[in-house]
Amino acid sequence: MDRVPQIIVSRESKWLRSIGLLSVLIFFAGCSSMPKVTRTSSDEVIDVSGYWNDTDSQMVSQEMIDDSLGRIWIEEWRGATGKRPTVIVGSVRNQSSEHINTRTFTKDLERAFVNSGRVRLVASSDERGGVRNERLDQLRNSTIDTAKSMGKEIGADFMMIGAINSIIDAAGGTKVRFYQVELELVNLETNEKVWIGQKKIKKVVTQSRYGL
Amino acid sequence: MGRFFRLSIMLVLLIIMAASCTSTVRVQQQIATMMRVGDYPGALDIVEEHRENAFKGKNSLLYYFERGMLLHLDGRYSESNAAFEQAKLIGDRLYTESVSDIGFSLFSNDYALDYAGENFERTLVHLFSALNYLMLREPDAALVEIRQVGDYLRKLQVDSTNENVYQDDAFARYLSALVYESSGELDSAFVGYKQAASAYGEYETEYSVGRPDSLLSNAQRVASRLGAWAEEDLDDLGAGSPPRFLPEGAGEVLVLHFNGLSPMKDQTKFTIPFSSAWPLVLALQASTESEDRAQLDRAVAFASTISGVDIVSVAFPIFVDRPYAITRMRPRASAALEISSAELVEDIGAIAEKDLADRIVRIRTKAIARAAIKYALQKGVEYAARESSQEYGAMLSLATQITGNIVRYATEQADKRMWSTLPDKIWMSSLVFPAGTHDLSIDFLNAQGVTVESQVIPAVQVRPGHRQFVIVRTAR
Repeated sequence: MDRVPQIIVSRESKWLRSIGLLSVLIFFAGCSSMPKVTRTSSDEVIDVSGYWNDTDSQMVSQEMIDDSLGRIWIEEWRGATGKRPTVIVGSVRNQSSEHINTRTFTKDLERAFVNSGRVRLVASSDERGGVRNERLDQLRNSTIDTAKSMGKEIGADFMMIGAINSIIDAAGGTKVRFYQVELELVNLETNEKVWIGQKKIKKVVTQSRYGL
Repeated sequence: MGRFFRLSIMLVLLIIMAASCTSTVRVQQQIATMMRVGDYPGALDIVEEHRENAFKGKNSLLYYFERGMLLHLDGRYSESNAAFEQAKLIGDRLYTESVSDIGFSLFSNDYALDYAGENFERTLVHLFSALNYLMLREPDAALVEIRQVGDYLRKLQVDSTNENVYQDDAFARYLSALVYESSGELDSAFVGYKQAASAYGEYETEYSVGRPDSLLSNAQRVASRLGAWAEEDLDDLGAGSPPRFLPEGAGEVLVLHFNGLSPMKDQTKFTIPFSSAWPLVLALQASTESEDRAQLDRAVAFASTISGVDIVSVAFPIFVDRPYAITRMRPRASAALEISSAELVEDIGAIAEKDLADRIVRIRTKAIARAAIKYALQKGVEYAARESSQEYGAMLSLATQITGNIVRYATEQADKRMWSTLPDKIWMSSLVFPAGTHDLSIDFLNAQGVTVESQVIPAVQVRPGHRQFVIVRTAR
């Protein structure tokens, strides 16, 4: 009878097996499954990368809404003119080092102005073009009794302008991100600034050098 | 024999890994062929075709680099920026290195690691993004990129422990200053021009790229607007061209010429008896003629597999130039009030080569350590084989030794990954036009001054007091 070679399970072979298993695991690590999606509340704080996100935008909205509607400029205007102030939202310049969509919080602010019933809002210059085109189209194509006439737009009393700035300090795996958002309401006739809102956000983002 | 079955699986995995290492290079060579004839959509098709293999997983950053650049050259600026944004996110995420990948790379090769991009590549992403936004006429977004590149370079300087390695980019500073000035941020522009002047001082030494004459005349123009303090502040930079002001009603067109293809990474591989490894590897220079070296390697490897002599393979990356004929551009425009000759503002090839040279000691050390680990691993397996059977042990041990030598040779690969669609050099020329719409012609000349190629840029819109960019690409 032929002798069958004896296979001795030595420490080396166990080590080899471990390495082989590790190789297979690493090899297939890239083959991830479908992304997992979970619905969550829009006001839940979720920080992923440390960059500007929806939570920052909502913090700015809340601060600016509370501050702008709580200040005296509305009552002063009503006292002087007997009317609600009419506001137009101008440009909020992004002077930060991130691509930030400032419309997320200016739209929140517009909504709060309109819903408060204390401030009137007119369409911004970007929005007006489409509305005017529609009006022109109505004059050509709609019945006379339904077509809206030109020259009846409401002129704004105040324009909201602003900017978002940032300062980044980074070393190793630590970054400090500081954002400062400023919004101002300017009287369109006198250039007087009747309200200045400011919101500062500071974040410390740490990232480890090594992971699994 | 189960142990050898398991070993075989490992070997197959390592050989598959070795094969995948070469596929990225092969795809990038195909892309280069398309770029030489200006077929950017064709090159993009190749990138997309290989997204799920050559550019997958640990090479995904390369996918976004190549895609972003080709979309940029094809004039699809928004899509290019989307790709570059992904590249930036991946680059940030890869600050955290995987310990398991590092471990695996020690007995395979550096392709086990994610490609995180070289520092100069990650700087250039911001510059090409900024140019995309300028072409889209979104100056505020371009400024965001300019601020990001400033933040990135500052972090490089803070984190760097060696002041001789790449940590500043003169062209990034120069472009930043130009964009700041165009946006009316004169303070930032002034700082940018000064930083650029300082960085070009380093460039002169490191890359033989001198300070462009236009830099100082632009800086002096901004200084004259800021006041006497700024003009005095520029005195340290020495004499240069006088401040250059645009004539009334005129605008400036800056032509950026991306020329050539940056050098490709290749490898120099040494295969030698283990006993000779350390002294030989240290003695040999990476610049040894690659073909001679390859022939020697093949001979040694073949001989050792037959005789059973233990060998080790170590591979180091080197750069190989990709030749191109065009050496400079010559813009022509009948309506131009002024045309400045083209100035070299960035030598990406030289930066890449210096960047590798700065890291080569670390790379060599790791390659040698990896060779030792692989060698020790093989010896362990040989020992196990010899002990497994009194009758066949010696034979199995010899077979393992021969197989191990072949596998170690096959798996040892230098990391040749790089952003391959980058130009070799960037040239810049300034033209001043009266406001209006003008055609612009550009001749591309070889070293003998013969026109190799011409391009016409039709209907360039020039606004009074404004600066705009025109980007041209050649790779012939």
